Amino acid sequence: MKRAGHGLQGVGVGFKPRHYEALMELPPAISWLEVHAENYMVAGGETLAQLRDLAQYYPISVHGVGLSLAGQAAPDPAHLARLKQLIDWLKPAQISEHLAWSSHGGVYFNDLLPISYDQPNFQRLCQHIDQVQQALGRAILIENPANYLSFSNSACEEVDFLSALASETGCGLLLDINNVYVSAQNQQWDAMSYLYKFDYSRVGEIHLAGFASDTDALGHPLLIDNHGAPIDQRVWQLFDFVCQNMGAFPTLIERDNNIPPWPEMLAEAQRAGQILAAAADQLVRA
Amino acid sequence: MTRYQKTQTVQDFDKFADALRDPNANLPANLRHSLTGRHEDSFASFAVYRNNVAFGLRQVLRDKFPLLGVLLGAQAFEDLIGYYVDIEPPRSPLLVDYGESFPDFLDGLPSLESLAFASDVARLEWAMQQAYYAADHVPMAATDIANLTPEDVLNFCPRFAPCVQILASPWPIYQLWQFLKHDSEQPTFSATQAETVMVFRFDYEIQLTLLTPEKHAFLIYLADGRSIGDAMVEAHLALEDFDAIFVQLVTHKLIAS
Repeated sequence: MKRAGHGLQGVGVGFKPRHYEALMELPPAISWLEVHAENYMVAGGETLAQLRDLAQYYPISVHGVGLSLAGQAAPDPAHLARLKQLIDWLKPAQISEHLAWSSHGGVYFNDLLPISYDQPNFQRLCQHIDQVQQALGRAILIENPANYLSFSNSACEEVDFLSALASETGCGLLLDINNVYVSAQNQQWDAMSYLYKFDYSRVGEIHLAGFASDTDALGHPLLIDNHGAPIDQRVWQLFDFVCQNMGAFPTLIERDNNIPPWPEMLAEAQRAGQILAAAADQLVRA
Repeated sequence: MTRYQKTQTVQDFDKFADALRDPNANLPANLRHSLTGRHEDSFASFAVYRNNVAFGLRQVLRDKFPLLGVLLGAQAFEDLIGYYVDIEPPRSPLLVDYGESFPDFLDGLPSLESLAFASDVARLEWAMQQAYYAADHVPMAATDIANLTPEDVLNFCPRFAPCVQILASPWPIYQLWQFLKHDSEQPTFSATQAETVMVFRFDYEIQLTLLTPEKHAFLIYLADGRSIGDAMVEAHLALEDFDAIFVQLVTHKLIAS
């Protein structure tokens, strides 16, 4: 099976229709785009037309949110068929999904829900990832989640769970550094340790995004991965650490809420590009 | 004290899912608050997931039914979509399909008895969504249409573009649309002023055309596969009305090749 994560280079942004005109100005200012798979599972119209236009100039990474890979039930065959149809015509450079579930008992919850890291969940996830990779005929990337809760029965750390998933299924990994930071703050563990342990041989893509600072109902601080703010300085520092020490990976700037004008997105993409370039420079000199 | 369990059971998933929809439901025993480590405190962070689900689904409906929001006012609209999300959650991750049952749901609400046309405003917005995402088509070339003789035209059985939607309402739906869209003077109308509209997509813009009863009947006959000549006779469509509607179909590229 084709290995995931070798189709992209440099910095991409999550495509939002308000940036369409700017992105169609050539030459492209950024290297690639990511789109949410489910937004393009429509029969026709402007949505698909814009994607067809953009795909002429940009490699595309398809990011799914609806397969519910960590759910009790196997991936919905109808949804998998829709994803396959999209993949077949778009021929994206990369496909990714989440270490999460979103459907249960016939209801779709429209959120990325957590699991405990235990053996039955591991085995079921492996089966589901296998089913998806078989259906699509290629490997996918699995993204680390943002966590707000802990489980009493997790048998291992998330970072080890992800490594094992990749080894077992041949999937690649999508390292969302904002999710690492958010989870580390919420769960009081060390983000650097997590990043040291991450299996970079499997990483096909990095995500950077912004979070919201909130408090929970008991007054404890809680960071929320809302993709609605500029990337936090501490997340930039973690990204810099990864680039300097682990290598330069295709990197995505994500923004799904409070979407800014294009120049602001571009500025964040350029900042990520400078960090990637500095890391590549260092690699050459070494 | 909570019994130690090694795995996340099916029942844990059931309970997690139930608690997403019911704030009074018990949380699965394996959840822990990340900072205190106590199960009893886990409700505080669980709320993030419940809020994400509710907010996300409400936003889907806000985006699809903005005119209904104008009609009902913000608070009443929020109450209604919250109720709908509770009663009829999505069954598929394809959220473009979510909300199809919303107009019928509104019909069944006693609180909307005095605003009985609200459900037709929702039906109109749903039709606009359908037109926006409808399959693309290759329109019949203008030259091919221009080359039709008058006899050819009468025998012609046109196929509509997939984006064409017809909504027949017992209410003045076209006037309501204009009022809600343009925020203009509220129209004075009676229940007898039924209106039918054709909703379609042209250059990716959604447009509406008010149809007379004859034009409406004519289009329905055509949609059933009847020829233009037959449809004109059956619908009692005057020649000048035919000219008007046919020109509109052609100029907006609504006849598929």
